[in-house]
Amino acid sequence: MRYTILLHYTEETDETLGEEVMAEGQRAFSAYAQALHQAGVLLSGEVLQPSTSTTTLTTVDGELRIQDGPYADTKDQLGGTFVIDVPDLDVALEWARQAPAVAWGAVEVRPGATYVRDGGWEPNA
Amino acid sequence: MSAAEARAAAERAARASYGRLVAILASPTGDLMLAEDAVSDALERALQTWPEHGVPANPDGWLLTVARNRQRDVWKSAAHRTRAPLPADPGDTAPLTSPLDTLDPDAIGERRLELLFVCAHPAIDAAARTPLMLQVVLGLDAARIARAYGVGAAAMAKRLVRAKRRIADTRIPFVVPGRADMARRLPGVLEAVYGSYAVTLTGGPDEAPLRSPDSLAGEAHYLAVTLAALLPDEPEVLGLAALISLSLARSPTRQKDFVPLAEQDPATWDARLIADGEAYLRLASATDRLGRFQLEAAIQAVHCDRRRTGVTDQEALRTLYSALVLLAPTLGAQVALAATVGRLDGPEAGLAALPDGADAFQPAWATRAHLLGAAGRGAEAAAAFDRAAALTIDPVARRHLSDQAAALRGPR
Repeated sequence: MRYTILLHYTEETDETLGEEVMAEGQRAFSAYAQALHQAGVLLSGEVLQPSTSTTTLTTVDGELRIQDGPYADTKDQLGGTFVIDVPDLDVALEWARQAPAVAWGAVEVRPGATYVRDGGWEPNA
Repeated sequence: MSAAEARAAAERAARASYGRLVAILASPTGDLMLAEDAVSDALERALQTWPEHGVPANPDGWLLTVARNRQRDVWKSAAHRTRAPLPADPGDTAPLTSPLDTLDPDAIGERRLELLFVCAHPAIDAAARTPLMLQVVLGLDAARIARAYGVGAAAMAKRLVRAKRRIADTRIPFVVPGRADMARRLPGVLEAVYGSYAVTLTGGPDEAPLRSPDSLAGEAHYLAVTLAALLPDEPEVLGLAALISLSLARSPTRQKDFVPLAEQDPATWDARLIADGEAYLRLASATDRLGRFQLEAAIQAVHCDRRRTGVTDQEALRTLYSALVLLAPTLGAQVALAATVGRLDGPEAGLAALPDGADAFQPAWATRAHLLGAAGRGAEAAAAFDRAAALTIDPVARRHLSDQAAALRGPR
């Protein structure tokens, strides 16, 4: 069963947080990725650039609109995702609990419905 | 065998087996709705078959076989496949070659504990946990649960369906947590089981008296006793079984005027339930791990002991309530402690011990009213009784409080 772990947090920079804290966060993320990998459950992991660099596409009255900035302008933003394959929700929650971002934001665990393999959709199971 | 006897046999089987069978059938896929449909279907079939052919030697095994076949028919049917095209078709994978096929219907295991932990899983909305237990473990229908909660049947059904979908979609496992997680997960189960009793205390005006067969209190007691049989080494589980047994023992069997605890005749209490409760409490205290439910049960045991001794040991109550306030500082415990202090040290001391921030808490106003009355502050007491009455849902208790207010105003 595939679950996506979504990390939401307030975006910080070296300036607001300090280099040392930033480096510590990066070390925690490295260790987390290592642990997921060694357990053989990690399918993918990605930390995103700040939402200031995101571009949003919408269709308004049939017309495509391209906008600077995130879709939802909230304090906390989606900052990264991990996709894991584990037997059930309890195992997924246990991994989510260990995500470093738990300490400074919200961590969401969402089961996948389908995923793409070789260009075709596969049911999640 | 008469139809009535067969019906009685099916109903007996239903109560004891419903949750067991649902747990076995739902465990491989998490599909509680299908499992419940299959079990209901099997029970219905039993009602048709048993009067004619007699009750089988192993009713559980018979029901499981019928329910399992029903479940398999649904998996194979096109309707089920087209209803949800994308998720894996369980008909091709686990269930058809599931452990169920090798399961001996004559040796049906006890899986209700797993089911209780699923219902009280932290990923399930806390407000849905107790209703879910009442439905999937005991087989109560949504309408009856809705009545106890004072909400509409449709709203309750929606809440239950949402929770069941969530169990299947997020794949909450049907497992009993290991030793490491038990301490974190058990309180949720205990809260949900206690919730099935608590709802009978605060339920709507139509709620039946607790010891009547219509009340959910009997179901709550059954859940608590079942849980105690499944987890006999957990002191708080035993404490909860003791608490519900002892407090149910003192509840009225018939709807009548509200009788305050101090004025109740102990001869009307249920001696067997009291003995059961005391036995659970003794088992719990042997483990030397104190908890909130054990303390609350011990408090009930002190009240019940009046049946034997003729008096209520107020000092023992003070000790127990003080411990409870330290362990679980709820408004209810603080108010009860203040009432005990009032009886021991005088009403002014009791008033001083009442907690702040209880302006919307009915027991706080009822206790304040009694203490003010005992202190001779009649006008203030009457106002407090009015306030308590306004906050009371149960019409019998409300009338009792209004009568007290009127009596205080009467002499003038």
